[in-house]
Amino acid sequence: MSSQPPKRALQFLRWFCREDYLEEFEGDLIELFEKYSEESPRKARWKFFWGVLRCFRPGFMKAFYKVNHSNTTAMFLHNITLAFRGFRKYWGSFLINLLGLSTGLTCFILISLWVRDELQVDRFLKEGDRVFQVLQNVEEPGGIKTMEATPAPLAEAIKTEIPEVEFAARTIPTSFNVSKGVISAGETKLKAVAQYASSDFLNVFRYPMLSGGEDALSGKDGVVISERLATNLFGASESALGKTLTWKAQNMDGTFLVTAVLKELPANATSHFDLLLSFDWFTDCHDLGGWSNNSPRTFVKLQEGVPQEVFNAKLKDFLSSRDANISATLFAQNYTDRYLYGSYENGKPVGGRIEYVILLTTIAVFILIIACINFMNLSTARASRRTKEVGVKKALGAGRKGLIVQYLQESFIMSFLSLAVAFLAVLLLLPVFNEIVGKHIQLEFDGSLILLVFAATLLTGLISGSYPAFYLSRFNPVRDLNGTVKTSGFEVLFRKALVVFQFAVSVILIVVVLVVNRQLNFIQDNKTAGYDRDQVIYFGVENMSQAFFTDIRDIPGVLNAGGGGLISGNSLGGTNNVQWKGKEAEQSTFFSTFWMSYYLAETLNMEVVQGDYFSEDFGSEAQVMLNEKAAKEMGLNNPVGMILTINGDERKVVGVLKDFHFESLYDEVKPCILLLAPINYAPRISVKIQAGLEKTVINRVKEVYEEYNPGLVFDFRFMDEDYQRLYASENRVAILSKYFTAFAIMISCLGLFGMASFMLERRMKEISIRKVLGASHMEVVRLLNSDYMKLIGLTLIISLPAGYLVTSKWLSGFAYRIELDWWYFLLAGSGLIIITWATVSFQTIKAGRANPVKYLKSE
Amino acid sequence: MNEHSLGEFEELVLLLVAAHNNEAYGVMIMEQLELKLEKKLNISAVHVALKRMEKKGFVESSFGGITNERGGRRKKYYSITSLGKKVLDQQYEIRTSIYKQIPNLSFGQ
Repeated sequence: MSSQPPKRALQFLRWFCREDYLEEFEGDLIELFEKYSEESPRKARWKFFWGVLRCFRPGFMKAFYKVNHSNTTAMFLHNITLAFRGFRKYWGSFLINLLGLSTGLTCFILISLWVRDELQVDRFLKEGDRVFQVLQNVEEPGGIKTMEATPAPLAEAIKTEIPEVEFAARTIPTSFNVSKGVISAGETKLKAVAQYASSDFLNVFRYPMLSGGEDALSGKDGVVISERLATNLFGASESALGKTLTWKAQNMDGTFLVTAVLKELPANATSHFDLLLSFDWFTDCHDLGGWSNNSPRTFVKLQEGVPQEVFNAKLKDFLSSRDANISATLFAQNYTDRYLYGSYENGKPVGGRIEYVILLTTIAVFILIIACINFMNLSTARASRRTKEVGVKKALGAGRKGLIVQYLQESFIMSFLSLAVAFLAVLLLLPVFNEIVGKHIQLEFDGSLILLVFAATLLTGLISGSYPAFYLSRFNPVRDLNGTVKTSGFEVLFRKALVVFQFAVSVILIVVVLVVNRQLNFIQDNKTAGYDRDQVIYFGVENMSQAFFTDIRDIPGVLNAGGGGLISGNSLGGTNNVQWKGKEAEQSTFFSTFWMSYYLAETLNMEVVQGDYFSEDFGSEAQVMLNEKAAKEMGLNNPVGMILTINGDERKVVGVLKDFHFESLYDEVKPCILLLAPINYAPRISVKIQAGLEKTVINRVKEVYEEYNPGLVFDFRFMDEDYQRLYASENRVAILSKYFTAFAIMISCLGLFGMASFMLERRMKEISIRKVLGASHMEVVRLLNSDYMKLIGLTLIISLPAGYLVTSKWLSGFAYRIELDWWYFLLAGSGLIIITWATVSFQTIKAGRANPVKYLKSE
Repeated sequence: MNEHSLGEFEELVLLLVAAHNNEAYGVMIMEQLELKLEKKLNISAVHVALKRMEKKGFVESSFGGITNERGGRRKKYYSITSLGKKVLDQQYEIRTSIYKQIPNLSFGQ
C-alpha cells in the first residue's frame, strides 16, 4: 500500500528518538504523510524522510549511554582501595609476591626475547623458503654422517639437469681462510673476511643491496663488498661501485673491481663475510678436484611452487649417477631452517639449536608457574585471616560473584604491578643479558610480543587469583563471622602438593644444570679432545717462507711451532679416493684430510700410538699420518711404512696418532689422514708458548711477522679461546640455564619463606604453650623443621628419578659423554635440604625464641 | 535578555498555542503557520520550538485519545502556562511601547 510510511525511516526514527517524544513525532509525521500522499505518494515519502532526518538532532535523541545506577565503577574503585590496603597491611607477603611474580615475569620476558631472536635468525632472507642447502649423507661404519661439503661440479650439474632448480651456487665458506685476508685500496689497508661464491650466489641469496646487481659475481675480477667495508675503504658506501681493490690472503692475491655493495646484514644473519669473491678465481688458485673430492658448499634456489620432496627425490642418487664409486646420497634442507634444525644423526634430522630454544622455553614456563604457585599459596593461606571480611561483606549482601571479582581483581593488580617491575628489570638487565647470550636484542614492542607478555600476565593473574577467589567466596557467612572456619585437610594437602611441585621442579633444574655444565666442561677438556690447546696461538701468514718459519721457531720461549690448517670445530673437506694394499673393492670410506707441516702435531701435543711424527729425517716429503680410526677403517694393524695412494699421489705412512677431535664432540671421531706439506703451503702457523712468557713471546712473534710481512697487521688468536667459541652457543645456554635455575630456586624459597612465616604465626599459641610446659628452644625448632623435612623427602622421591630420566635422555645425544654419577643427585638433594632448612630455620628460630607470654596473655 | 527569552519563531508558535489553547498540536500549528506566513515549514521546526518552550515552562502538553488517524498514534495537545502567557504579555508590551515611540513618519507618498 502506498499510504504506508517508509519502513526504514520509521525504524531509524524509533531507534534514535527519545521515547517521551516518539509517539508525538511519529504521529505528526504520519499525519502529514497521509495528507501529502493524497497529492503525491512520492513527495509524501520524500517529506517523511526529510522530516525524520530533521528530527535527528541532539535534543531529540535518546540517551544511548545507560544512566544505570549500578555500582560497578564504585565497586571497582573500592576493590582497588581494598587491595592496596591489604598490600600495606601485609606488606611482607606483598613484597614476597611482588618479588616472586616480577622475577618470574622478568625471566619470562627475557627468555621470550631470546627465543624470538633465535626463531628469526636468517628469516630476513628474501624468498628464503625457496633457498636450500644441499647436504651429503655419507655411509660410514658408525652410521650415516651428514656433511655440508659437496663436490665442486655439483652446483652447475644440478642447475642444468634438474629443471626445478632456478639458481644454484657454490661457495667456499669464510672458515677456509681462518685468519683474515688483507684488502688494500690506495693507501688504505684493512683485514677482512672473504667468502668465495659462484655467479648465481646473489640470485640464491637475495641480500639487500645498496648498489650493483645480481650479476655482480659473474666475472672473475668482480668483488662484492659490505656496506661497512665500503665505508672504511672508500669513505662512503655510495662511491665504492667501480673502484678497484686488491685482495691478498695466504698464497692468493689479485686485483678486483667493486661490482656491488651489500647492505649491512641484520644481526641475526648466520653468514658473516666482508666481501664476496668469484668462485672461479678461487678454482684458478686451488684445484678442487672432481666428483670424489668434497669441499665447496652448494646452495640452490628452487622454482616457485616446487615442493622440497620433488627436488630431494631427483637429488638423492645424483652423485652415484656421476661416479659409480660414490655411495653418498644428497638431500636438501631449507637454508633458513639450518640454524635451528641443523643437526643430523645417522642421516635423520635430530633438531639442533631448537633443543635449546625448547629447553629455555620450558624453564621460562616453569619459573612462571612456580611464581604463580607462590602467590596462590600465600593468598589461600591468608584467606583464613580474611574470613571476617568475607563474612561481613556477605552479611551486607555481597554476592559470591562480587567476591570472586574482588579477589581476581586483586590478583590482576598484583600481576600488573609485577609486570611493571619486570619491565624495569628487563630494561636494566638487557645489556647484561645481551652480553651473556652474545646477541643484540632490543626491547622492541611489536604486536606479538606485547600480546604474549600481556597474555602471560593475565594468565598469571588468573591462575594465581583463581583458587583464592573461588575458595574464599565459598565460605558460609555465619561460620565466617563466629570464627568456626577450619582449614580443611584438603586445603592443607593442596598447599603442600603445590610446594612439593615447586621444589621438585627446582631439584630437576639443579640436576639438569649440573649435568649440562659437567658435560660441556668434559667436551671442552683437553684430554677429551686429544690435543693440547693451552698456550697455543695461531695466526695467518700471507708471505709464508721457510726463513720466517725458522725465525719464529728460534724465538726464545717458543716451545714449538708448526704450520697447517688444523682448527677446532671446522668440518673439513676430505676424499674417498684412497687406495692401499688390501683394500676391499667395494670399500669407499670417506677420509677427512688436512695438510700440515713438520712439527704441528708436536706443537699440539698429539699422542703418537705407532711410528713417529713427520720428520725431515725420513727423506721424502711424501709422508702421511693416520688417526687410529683411519687405521682401523683400513683394517691395518700396523700401517707404519705402508704406501697409500691419495688422490693419485703415493705417500708413506709414518705414524698413527691417537684419535683427536677436530670436529664437534657431538660426533664420533672420523677417519682422518694428515698429509705433510711444505711450510710454504701452510696458511697459518701455530705456536706453543712457554707458560708465563706469553706477553714477551707474542711481542717478539709480532716483530718477526712484521719484518716478513711489511704493512700487514699481526692478527693472532689463542687456540683455547677459539675452541670455546666453537661451543659458544652451548656455553651460553649453559650459563643462561644456570641463572634461570637460580631464579627458580630463589622464587621457590621466597614462597616457602612466606608460607613458613604464615604457618608459624598461626601456631604461635601452640609453640608458646609447649615452651611454657618446658620444651626447649631447640626442641621447638626441630619439631617445626621436621614438618618441612617430610615435604622435602617427598620432593626428592619424585624429582630425582625424573631428573635422571631427563638428563640421561639429553646425554644420549652426545657421542662422548659423562657418566651420570650418583653424586649429582646427592648434590642436588642435599642442596635442596640445605636451602629449605636455611629458609625455614630463619623463621622457626625466630618463633622458638619468642617470649611465650606475649602470645598467651591475650584472650 | 533574561532567562525567559523567546525567539521570533517560538513567539509565533506560542501565539498559536495560546490562540488554540488545549487544541493545538504539531501538524495543526504547522499548517496554521504556513497559512499565515505563506511559506512552507518543516514539522520538526515546530517540534523544536515546542519542546524548547516546554522545557522553559511556557507550554504544557497532554496526550489526546487514540483515534484511527495518524496510524493510531495519539495527538499531543499543547496549552499555554501562566508563565508563557506572562512572557507573551511582556513581549507584547515591550513591542507596543517601543512602537508607540515611533514618530509619524512620512515616506513621501
